[in-house]
Amino acid sequence: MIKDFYSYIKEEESDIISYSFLTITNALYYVYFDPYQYALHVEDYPNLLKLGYGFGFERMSKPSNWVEDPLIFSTISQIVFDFIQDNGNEVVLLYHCDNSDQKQKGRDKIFEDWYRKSELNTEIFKKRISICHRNSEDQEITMFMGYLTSESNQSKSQIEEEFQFFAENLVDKH
Amino acid sequence: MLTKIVISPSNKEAISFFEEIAKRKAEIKKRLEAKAAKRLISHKG
Repeated sequence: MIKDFYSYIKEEESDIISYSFLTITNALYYVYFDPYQYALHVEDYPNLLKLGYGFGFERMSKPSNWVEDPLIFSTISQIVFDFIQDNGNEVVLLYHCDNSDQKQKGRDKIFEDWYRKSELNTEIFKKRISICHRNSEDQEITMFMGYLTSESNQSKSQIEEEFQFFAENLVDKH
Repeated sequence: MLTKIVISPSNKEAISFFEEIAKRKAEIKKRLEAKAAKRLISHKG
């Protein structure tokens, strides 16, 4: 269980569920769950995507001062925990580190560190892969993609197999 | 255990899969930014 976290609100729209919280330094964070991100691929990966949600979080305002704030990740952990409790252990949260500003490596490291230190790492399973390709300007780009699911998810091993199959399929398309 | 994949520049299908993800993420970010702006105004007010 999470010892302490910021108070948060949940908002549901037709195609997205978001949670938000304000930190002590007035930084506003949104955590979102998107049921449509991977919906077109459910038939190919039923265990992975039947209850699969695109998952992400964003800081929407700058803090008034930059101090290390462990409650931010505690709150994100609590929200993940809350979402799984509401939607069942079969939920799979798929993430892809934003690479629009080339800062995906830092995001991946922060997320990995958070997971290792998180109070939830005994209850939530995390899997991630790196994906390398060259863009149209011939620059090498490394992206990071993975998923979180409950350790109590009874389809955990099938999900792991399907995620591997998904990665192999991407490569096998030439 | 699979940890890394390398996509060939000619693998257009794989590249377009990631472009679609980026597009949807950008769309969501834009919507959340609009919500956040309202929230921050009301918070200041």
